[in-house]
Amino acid sequence: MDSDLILIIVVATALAFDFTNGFHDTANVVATSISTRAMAPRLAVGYAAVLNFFGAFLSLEVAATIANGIVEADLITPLIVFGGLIGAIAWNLITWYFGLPSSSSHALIGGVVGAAFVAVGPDAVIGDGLLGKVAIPAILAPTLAFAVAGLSILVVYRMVGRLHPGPVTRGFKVGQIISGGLLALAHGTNDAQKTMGVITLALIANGELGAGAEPPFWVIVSAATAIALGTYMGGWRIIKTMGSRIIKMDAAQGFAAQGSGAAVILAATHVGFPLSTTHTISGAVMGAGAAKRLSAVRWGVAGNIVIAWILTLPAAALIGGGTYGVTRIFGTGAAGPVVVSAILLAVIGWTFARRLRHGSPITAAEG
Amino acid sequence: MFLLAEVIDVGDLVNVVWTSLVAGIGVCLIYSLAIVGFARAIDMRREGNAIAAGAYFVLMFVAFVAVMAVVVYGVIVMTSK
Repeated sequence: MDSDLILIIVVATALAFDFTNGFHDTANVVATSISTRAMAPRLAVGYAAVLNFFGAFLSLEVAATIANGIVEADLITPLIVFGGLIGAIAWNLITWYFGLPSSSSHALIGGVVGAAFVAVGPDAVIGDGLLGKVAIPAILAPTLAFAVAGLSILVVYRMVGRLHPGPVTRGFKVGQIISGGLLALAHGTNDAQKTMGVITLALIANGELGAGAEPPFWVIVSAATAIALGTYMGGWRIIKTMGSRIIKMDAAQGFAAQGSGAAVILAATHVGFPLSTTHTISGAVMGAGAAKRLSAVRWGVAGNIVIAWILTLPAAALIGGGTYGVTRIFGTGAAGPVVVSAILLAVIGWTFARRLRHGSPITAAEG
Repeated sequence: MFLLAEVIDVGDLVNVVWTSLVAGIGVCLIYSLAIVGFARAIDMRREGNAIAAGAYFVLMFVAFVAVMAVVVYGVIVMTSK
């Protein structure tokens, strides 16, 4: 009974994380389309939400990596998964509060690794998996997206540079609807699966599924729904900063950034690398800007992204490990997760109330 | 390099790099061709050159269909995993 209650709390927490993931990362998907006026804001967000939902059904490679490739699934308990999720949510909230760009993917992985490390020790962590499936792709993703988008926009300008700007802009705005759709699909494919992976890990830990199992259908549907709803709610301030404060982009740059970002995310998803969509798209946007003119990019923003990127895994791991330690004070039952959830909800409520009172300068892209 | 090969599937890594480059740059290149066709077709029609306008329109159409084919292929690759 107690273990079932813990499992319910873990699943609810995972879906809450998925919702915030969609809310936070909406900017990655729609910001460029909105800033170049390729789509009206509400339409862009609705379009992204629908495609995020369907994207979540396309592949299970990343979910399998989260569930089986980062930590030893047979050593994991639902309390560890809970600690990891709280670590991820808390780090996302902290970075949001201070206006730092952060990767939900790395926060989630860091949280689970930290909680597993505290609970079981180093044996629970698959070091090679962490390095090979997370750390190296984390370096690769923004670098590759930067290069692909930079080369792409050079090709685009070479091709259309001498044409009348009117039809070119109109044409690329249509292209942005296509590339934005592909990006939303790729985002759903990549990000919703992280939650699926964590819920699957909790189900394995609770004995509902065998080790190495794939996510059940209800997990896929609920994760897809949570990320789509979060996307539809949209983080409007982040959309504004992501769309216009890294660079002031034209429709061609928006198309190149979205298309390149989608290409990198889809290619990575294809081989099961759980990479950060935030950093991939940021890299692509910067690449599209830098190829036109180096000074067009606010390099302070790039510095912030790198700092947040380096801090995310260890910080979320610390919080995840600490949360696990706190829950164990109350034993192995449901009391610990209930108390921690109540504290987290109170903190979230206080944070949002404070933000609403004082305004909310989410400065993810402000250097 | 030896250490890297122990912790990561270098083949997968290389796959991600070349697939991203080819897909990203390729789609932008082909879509730019569609834009060229679109813009030049308008110019040619304005100049009264119907044959050239038609040819550019065909270029636009073929390039646009090619981009859509790449998008569909990308989705098929995802669903096949």
